[in-house]
Amino acid sequence: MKILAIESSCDETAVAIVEDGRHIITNQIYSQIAIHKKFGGVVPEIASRNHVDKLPFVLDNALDDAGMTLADIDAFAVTRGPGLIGALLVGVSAAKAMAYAADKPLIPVHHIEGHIAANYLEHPELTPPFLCLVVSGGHTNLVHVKDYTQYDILGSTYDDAAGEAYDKVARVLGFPYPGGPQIDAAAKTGNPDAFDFPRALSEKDNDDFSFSGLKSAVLNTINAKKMKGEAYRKEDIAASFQRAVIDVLVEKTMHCAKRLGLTKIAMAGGVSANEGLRRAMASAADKAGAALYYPSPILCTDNAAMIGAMAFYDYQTGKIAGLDLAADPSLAIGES
Amino acid sequence: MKLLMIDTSARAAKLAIAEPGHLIAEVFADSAFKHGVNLMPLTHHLLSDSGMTIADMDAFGVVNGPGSFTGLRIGMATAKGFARAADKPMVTVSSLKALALSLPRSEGILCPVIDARRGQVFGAAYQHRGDDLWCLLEEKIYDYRSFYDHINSIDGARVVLGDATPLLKEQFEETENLHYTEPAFQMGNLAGAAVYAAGQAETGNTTDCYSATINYIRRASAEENYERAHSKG
Repeated sequence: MKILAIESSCDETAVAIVEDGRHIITNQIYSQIAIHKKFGGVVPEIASRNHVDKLPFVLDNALDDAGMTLADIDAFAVTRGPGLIGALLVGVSAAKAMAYAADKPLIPVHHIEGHIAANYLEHPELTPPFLCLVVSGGHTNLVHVKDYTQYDILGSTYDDAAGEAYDKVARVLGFPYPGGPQIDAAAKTGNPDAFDFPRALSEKDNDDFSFSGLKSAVLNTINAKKMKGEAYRKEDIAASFQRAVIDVLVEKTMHCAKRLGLTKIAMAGGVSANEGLRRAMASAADKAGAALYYPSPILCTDNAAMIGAMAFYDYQTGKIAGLDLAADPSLAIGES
Repeated sequence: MKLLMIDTSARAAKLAIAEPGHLIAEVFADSAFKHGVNLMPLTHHLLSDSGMTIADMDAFGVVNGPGSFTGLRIGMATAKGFARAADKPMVTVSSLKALALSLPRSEGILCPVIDARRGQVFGAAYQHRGDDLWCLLEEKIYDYRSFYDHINSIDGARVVLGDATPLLKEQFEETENLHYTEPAFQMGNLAGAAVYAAGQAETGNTTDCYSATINYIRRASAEENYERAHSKG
């Protein structure tokens, strides 16, 4: 079954064609990062404007790359939420119109479930149940993936997403947007023990996250250094901050896996492309005798292939959108 | 030549199917900006009640602004989706022109106004002369007073219509030569624009799903702010 998927929940305009949930035929992404850079972050109105202009071109790139026409597509899929409402509406409106005109089913997909499903595209051996740490600019969740479409949300962030904390710290350190990869790179030559930043909610039975305290501590440290006229190395701040984030992510993930007796651990979302996180999680999983899965960086950040993968499993459960499908900016996992 | 026309630029969704010189079907639904949910079911009803499908359409028309940014994108993304899937051309018509086309027999100066918030309107002035629609005042953003002064400088009876009509009526009294459209008809209908667009499609005056763009007139506020911050000193 060939599914053409559209993703427009934030600042990537993406179209992919995926076969049977596991095989990428094409994965086209138009990134708007360059457009939003001068604003220091994604501007929703500008993202939405670009989606509506670029989508037809990205769609044709996908079909051309696949050597297909719309007649070769068995079903359409689209990210229904969560995300920026104006941005989501472009993809949802276009997908509804195309599916209706082509008289094909339209499968609505949850963006985070899509991130989790990105793992299926590169790990044929990975099947539920497993534990998945979802970390991105908008989300931080520990999810027990009980079956392809059945989830238990074990933990969520009380405040900032992990990626959001990265972006804010990066901005103060003077790194260009998006700051996550910059901190990851700078951290390599920094001393992670230079500063002792807080690890929030580290009690053993708390699966939730909080990153705003950490973010404030980093900002206060930098301000204090500036006030006193003391020199500091950006790399040391980056390394110490990253260590604090990773410690929390790895510890909570491993604790959940142990408690639930899960021996398969996956990561998903933009922050799961972070090299420091990958190394730390791999070493912890290895120690615990668990298998660790994560997608290639291009499938960690927003893309439509992951939506096409998830859509295949959603379709098996009969999930097909009506003409009145609404984009939902705060859609909960398991409710799309 | 059959054309499906979509207008989600304001709070009511408007749809019509037309041929050159002939309206086939039309729907007006005040859906309070719920276009993201309502547009497709309305489209399906209009087509199926007319015994047609998307495949029967030869072109797709869309009102491309100014108006509600989100509403415009829902209409444009939908029209592009239809045009791409059916491999048919598109026609775009401005929302202000579409309002003027909703009163085709009027002899007065038609002054469509759309609420642009911040004490401003998207406005223009048109006049029907024979088969042609003449633009007498450029489509852009005007302060209430500036729009009023501009249309006052045009000779003839002026008729104000569009969703910002009550806003102007509050500011400036009706006179012998300045009329405000009754509330029930201020939103206009899409028949005129649909027939006009079908005529455009017939003569090959079309665009396509790659080139059709929205005319927001106003930039994103982040762009305005950025420019303001970077033009100082």
